[in-house]
Amino acid sequence: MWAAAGLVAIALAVLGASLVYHGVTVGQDAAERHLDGEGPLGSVGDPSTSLSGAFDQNAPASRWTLGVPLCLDQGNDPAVLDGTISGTQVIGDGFTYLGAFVREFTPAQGDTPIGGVEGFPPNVKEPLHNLKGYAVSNRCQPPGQRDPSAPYTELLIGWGRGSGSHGGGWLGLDVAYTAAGRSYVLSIADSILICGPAVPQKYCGPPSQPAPS
Amino acid sequence: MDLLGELSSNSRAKAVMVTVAVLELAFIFPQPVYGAAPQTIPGAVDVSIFRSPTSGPAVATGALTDDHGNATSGTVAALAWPDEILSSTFKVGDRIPTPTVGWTSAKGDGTFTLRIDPRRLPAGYLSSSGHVNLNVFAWNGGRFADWSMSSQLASPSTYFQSLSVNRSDVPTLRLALKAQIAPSVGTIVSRPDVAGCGYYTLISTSLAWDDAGESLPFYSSTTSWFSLGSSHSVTLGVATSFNGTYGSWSASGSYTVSSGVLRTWDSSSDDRYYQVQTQYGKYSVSCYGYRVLPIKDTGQSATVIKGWQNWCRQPWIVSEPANFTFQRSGSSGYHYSLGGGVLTGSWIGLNLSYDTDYGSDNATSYHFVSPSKLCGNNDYPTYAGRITDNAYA
Repeated sequence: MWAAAGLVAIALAVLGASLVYHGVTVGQDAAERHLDGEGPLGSVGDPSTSLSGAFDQNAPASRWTLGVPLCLDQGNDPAVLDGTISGTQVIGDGFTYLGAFVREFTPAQGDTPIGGVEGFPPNVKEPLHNLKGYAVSNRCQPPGQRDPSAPYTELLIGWGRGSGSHGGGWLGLDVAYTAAGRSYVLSIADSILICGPAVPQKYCGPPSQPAPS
Repeated sequence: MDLLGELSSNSRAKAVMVTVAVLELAFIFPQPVYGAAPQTIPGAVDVSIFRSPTSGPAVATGALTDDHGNATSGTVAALAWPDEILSSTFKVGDRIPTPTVGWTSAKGDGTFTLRIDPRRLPAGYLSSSGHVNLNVFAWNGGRFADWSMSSQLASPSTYFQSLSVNRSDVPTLRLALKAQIAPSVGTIVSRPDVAGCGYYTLISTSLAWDDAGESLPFYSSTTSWFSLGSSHSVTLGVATSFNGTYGSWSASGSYTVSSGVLRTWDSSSDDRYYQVQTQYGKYSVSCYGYRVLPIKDTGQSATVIKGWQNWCRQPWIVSEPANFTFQRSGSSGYHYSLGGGVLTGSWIGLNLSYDTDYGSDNATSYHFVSPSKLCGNNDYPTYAGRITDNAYA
């Protein structure tokens, strides 16, 4: 009797796990992946732009925060983050993704974006919002015509050392969200890295070749 | 006597034959819509282009005006210029082939949309980056205007029919038709016969340094470097003059020159400008004066150390941590465009514009030894045309 109940429980657990797995898989497959500037949620707004931040492997600090702008680029419905951030391409194992928050501030009131700071979570005066469920509604603004009195939404990514000694990180950043009932993944050309043999030299220093005179 | 001979002997028949021949010619070579007499078309324009409207991507919109700024009708044609590889093969004294690749009419309100037919581009007129440089001629009767421009066809494919131009990249031209000025005497003349006009001949070349980029690290606490990829392209100013003398030149559009040269400068804590060298050509344009146009990237590089320039402007400031490398590449925001531009001042008395985007192969990098601030001149550093580093901002 107990053995039969145990088998049923195991079968149900396997079935449930399978359903969850397939559900997640179907959900991800259904999401529309787009580059920056080509969907509801945006960042810099231009897929040909790429930024990279690379920490020295032997830096004294071990936890950092990097800031990435987020804004509503297309449509009128807010882009609601589903809490998932991942690397478009993952290299090496000498890094750790510590989590992420969102904050909002107004530049004209004296605050400025974070390029990068030591420590995570960052010490900022604004409240830190959980990623999951945060609705991005502040409009993207054209470069050079930015209104400092307009609110600025910033994704704050926590980054730390990993177990490996070869460095590594994310080449590209994927942010999952929904807008107007549809699932999307914004793929930003930003890279977050810890320097080491696993990371291309160009992200961490000038290539070792003779310099032009 | 056969029929042809019989007709030929008849004066009325001769008149009919002449009339038919004229009509056939008119059918084969219909005149521009505005009805200019054939002899007002600059000789460099291939009249076969007028057989039909140009089918292809729009490369420019614009408006024609007369010398008083009033809208006027006219004809506009696009003549292609050789790419940097073909351009560099010409010697002083050579006439430069400029195939006619498109035309349109400006109506009474002066407005026009100029298209080019990529199938008319011979080999050597579409750069590896997909750019085509164009000389735009506009005329009405004896009055003429021109402008130099570049257009990037969306794909440097061999399937020319599928090429297009991004709508946002189509410039608006304002062309003011002027009475032609005879270069030799500098007076306004009427030139009803322009059959020999509009031909480019290379008369000299010169080398010029261009400020291709800059990085402005903060003292010894930050180092920086710059790289230009092997597939970058730059937009370089073009100059025009009626008599070609020093100080008589004015800006007249721009060309895009692609480069296959990979450059990486080493890191330094100095505030530096990064320079590349361009070969320019001076051309005489029959009836229309002189032009100075870029020919090619010579592959030479240089660095100029500038004084301390670590300005910072609120609110365009972001914080950066120690032991960290920030790198920006890509074309978002303002293209890098420095006042110095192309340093042709000692040659023609005018420095020309130089504009490069932070293309995917071009990157500016800063390495921070201690915490600092990056500042943009007109936006946050991610988007700004110029960025500097100032730990005390």
